[in-house]
Amino acid sequence: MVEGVRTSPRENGGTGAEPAGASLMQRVAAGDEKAFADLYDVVAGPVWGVVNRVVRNGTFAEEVTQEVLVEVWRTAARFKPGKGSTLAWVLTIAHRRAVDRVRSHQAALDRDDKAGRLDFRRPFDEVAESTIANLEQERVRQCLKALTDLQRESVVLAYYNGYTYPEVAEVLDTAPGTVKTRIRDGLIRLRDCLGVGQ
Amino acid sequence: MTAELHTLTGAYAVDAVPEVEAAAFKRHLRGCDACRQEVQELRETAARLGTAVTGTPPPGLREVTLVQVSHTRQWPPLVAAVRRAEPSKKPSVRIALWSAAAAAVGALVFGLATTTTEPGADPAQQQLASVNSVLTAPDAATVKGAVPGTATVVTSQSQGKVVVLAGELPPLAPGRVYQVWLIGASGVHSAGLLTPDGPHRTRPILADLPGRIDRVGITAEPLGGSRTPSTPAVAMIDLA
Repeated sequence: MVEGVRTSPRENGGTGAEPAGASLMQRVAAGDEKAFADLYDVVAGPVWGVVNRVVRNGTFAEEVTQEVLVEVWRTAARFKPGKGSTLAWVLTIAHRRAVDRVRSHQAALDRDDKAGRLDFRRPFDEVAESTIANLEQERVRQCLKALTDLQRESVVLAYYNGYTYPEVAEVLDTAPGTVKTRIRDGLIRLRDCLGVGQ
Repeated sequence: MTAELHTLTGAYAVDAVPEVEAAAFKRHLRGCDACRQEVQELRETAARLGTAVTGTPPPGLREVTLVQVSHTRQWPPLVAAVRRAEPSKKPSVRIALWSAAAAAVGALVFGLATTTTEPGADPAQQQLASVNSVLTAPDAATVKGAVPGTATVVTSQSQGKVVVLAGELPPLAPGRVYQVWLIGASGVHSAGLLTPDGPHRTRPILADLPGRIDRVGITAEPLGGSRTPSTPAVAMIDLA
């Protein structure tokens, strides 16, 4: 029913999993559960990785990962292949859900203990170093190294810790406006370094 | 586009914009092709940060996710023609469509006190919460059976529960139903009937563990089930 749907190489986005991912999405969108099982095998590892990294709690991470994958199934028909890779779409959902979870959890903690607002958070150096030390992909690691310290710290705290840019600014003792532009500058430099979208 | 707003693309791509500001930026995005393009590229970039930390999901998650998916209605695509026809309607068409979809699902599950925000929530999903807690218990033990079709048995002694997932079983004769049996030192206990849920699917069975069990059997029984197995097992899964 969906044979012959063309997958343009432009959609590749530089991820090796993509050609399979794009045609799989067509079948998943058409309600094919077997295709979804295949898609699960492609994306569950990255989804779990992102969610676990942001949430840092196995039980929460498992719940959120499942929510993400069910959302992928539910909204598959709204994925637009022309507007990016399948994996980026799935990981955008994953990051959003993980961040929502830690923020609502944090809001509850803050209500309980207004004074202890940032106390539970680990100092930046520890977080950033362990994150970067564990990066599996050397290329991403190398590209992160090419950023300025402030760019790298801002991007890492925002993405891997799920901090808002004002929170990043607080942790780094920098003006929010500066952090905002550093996140953008850092991501643009990463984009060019990784050759995303070329 | 203002330069000030445009610098939010990066933070927005990594979900780092506080809620109120994010809502304003989202409105701005609708009229700013260049911003949308940049957000998309930066999301692709952020995804690479994601794949760099790829991990191994917990065992059992695949199974329970696939089961939940089989009970989850898919949303229809957003139709371009509808969006163009009503560009200035106040509550966005996207939201209107989502509400319509949610309402349609809500109508299907009328009479049910749903406790989750899932629009597809149904009794099966409530049971899934319990199934989930068995599958994710620290002492969950999973055994897959080589049977005609697929059968997976997950036991958790700490929760005193067993979950049986089965699918692709041979078609039943009319007037018959598959029944699952827990077999152990204390005898043979029914775990319940496998309720069809589509051509090749059944709903997961959740049952109390009657002490230690060694095997799980599946038999074809008259509708309504039997007190004890009345036919030879079509499948027998050894837990030892």
